[in-house]
Amino acid sequence: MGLLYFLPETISTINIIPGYFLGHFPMILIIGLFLSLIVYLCYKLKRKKKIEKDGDFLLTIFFLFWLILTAFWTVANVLDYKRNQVYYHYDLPKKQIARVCNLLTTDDGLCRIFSFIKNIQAIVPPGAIVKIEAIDTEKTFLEYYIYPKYKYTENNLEADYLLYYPEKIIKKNK
Amino acid sequence: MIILKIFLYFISLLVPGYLTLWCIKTRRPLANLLNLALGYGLGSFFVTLLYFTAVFWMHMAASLSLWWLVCLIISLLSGFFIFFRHGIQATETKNIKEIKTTKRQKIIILIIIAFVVVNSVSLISSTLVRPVATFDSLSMWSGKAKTLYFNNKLDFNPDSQYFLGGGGHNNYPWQIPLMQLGLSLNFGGYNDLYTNFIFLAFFIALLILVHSFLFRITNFYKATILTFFLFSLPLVFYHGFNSYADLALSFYITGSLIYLFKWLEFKNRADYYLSISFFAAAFFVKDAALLYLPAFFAIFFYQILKKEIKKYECFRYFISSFCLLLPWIFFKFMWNLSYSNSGSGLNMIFPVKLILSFLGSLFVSYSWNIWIFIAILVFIIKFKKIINDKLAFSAWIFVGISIISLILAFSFAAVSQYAYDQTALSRTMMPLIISSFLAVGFSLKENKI
Repeated sequence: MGLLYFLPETISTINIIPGYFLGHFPMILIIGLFLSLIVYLCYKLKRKKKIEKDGDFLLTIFFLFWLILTAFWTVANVLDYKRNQVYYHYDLPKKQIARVCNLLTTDDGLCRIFSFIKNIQAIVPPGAIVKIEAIDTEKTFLEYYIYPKYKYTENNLEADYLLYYPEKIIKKNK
Repeated sequence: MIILKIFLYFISLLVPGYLTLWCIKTRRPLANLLNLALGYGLGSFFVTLLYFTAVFWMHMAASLSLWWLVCLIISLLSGFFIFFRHGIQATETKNIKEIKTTKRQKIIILIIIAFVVVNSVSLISSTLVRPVATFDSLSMWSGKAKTLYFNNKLDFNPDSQYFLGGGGHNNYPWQIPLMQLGLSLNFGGYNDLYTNFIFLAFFIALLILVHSFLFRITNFYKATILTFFLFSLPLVFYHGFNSYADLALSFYITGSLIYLFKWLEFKNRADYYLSISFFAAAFFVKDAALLYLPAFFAIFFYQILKKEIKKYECFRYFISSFCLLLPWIFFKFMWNLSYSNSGSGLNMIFPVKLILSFLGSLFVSYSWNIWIFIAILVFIIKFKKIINDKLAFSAWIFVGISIISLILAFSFAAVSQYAYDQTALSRTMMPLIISSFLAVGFSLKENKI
């Protein structure tokens, strides 16, 4: 991603933080190699003893290079903070919707589960046992958010209702 | 009122943890940030372990009164030991140099403070508005807490969808779900927003632990810069408000390592017991702790080889950790729960793709900023010093063996797909990356621990 195109919740994932790129080159690699070159030059040219003895000097160099991307990251966090302010007064269910929808902008399927849950609540009586037919991720999200109002099962015979997603079909089973 | 409830929850962990810590080591100032961090870690482990025993073994209802009863029992037991026997004198290190910084260093520290303040505001704001919404949280960590909260009791029927808490992996340990359950019980309703504070607390405790250790072995300036690097590692920071187990696992592995090093230096039993407790806790947080077991073995092996410790001390270390974890290990055994994440079976494909994935995480992603370069540079520059210093060498052994262990685990086990698609590799590496901060700290060491 580009340097100014970074908002933590829309791009970050819990598994990995995508890298910044300059053209096709990863910034981490560019900055890291440049840092290595500077340290090598300092080491070879005139500050060999200073570097070997004094870790403070070395850490100061590291710090300066560290700040390059940290500065962009901080700007992104500030922008993120500004965007967060809208949500302070939301109640918990609204915050849940906002987070899921903001978190995974590329996957509308997950954001749309909340409108499906609304439909379920309008049709299926509380306490009913449901079976969800959906792909793994969407199924997990649905199961989490409909519980404890509805219990879910894998057994067709046990289920009062069958729920199909993303088709958004609600079918009475008993 | 909400603040009071959350405060009470943390008190319910801190008081037993603090008293347990006091049991292990005495004559230390009470108002000490490090002790608070350690107390939080110990309290979280012992309270959830006993709660686990009550709910999972004795089939008691998961209630608020049980939560406070468990806290009371641990506090009373610890209080009893404190009263009737002298604790062990904790390692008091030699005089730490006064904080002396040059004008240039003061400017850098001011810059660091500014960055920390700005980013902390963002972190706290995220903690306050972002309920859990990531896959593993919903399918496991928070999902299990929610199920147990509303079911009140664990479901032991293997045909049920909620068998042993339900969710993606019913073989996963319970500390994180039980901590979330505890918060919801104290809060008086299931809440998957305020549980974020549990992870924020682990993040702060980790920073305190690492800064305190680095300050002891280096100086204030170095410790502050290195801790700032840790604070601003984007992936670790992001886990600071997300309900995943990796940050807590990193906290316990790091704590265990720090006190293991302290024990190796001073042979003080208090440090030994603390290390054992943290090591055991890591296994009650996440099975991935197993990946770091060979690295712990390697440190002991090296120290035995150097005749720094005796074999029985190594043996006692692992046996004691095992004994602490008996309720969980027996439970796994009894219900035939495996350690494997995705079934057995070996994946014997040569791991070129995996190595590329590994390198991608280290050198292309922004997960660790440029930390990997820094660690490599320090290792090269301070190599002579490292091989002459047994503790520094041990710390780097830990890093090296952990890398090998991770590569082997992801190469030859059936979990390699999680490395290829980057859904688990980077966060599984988190304890390794954080342990490399200790190794770098040792390489820049000025004082004894």
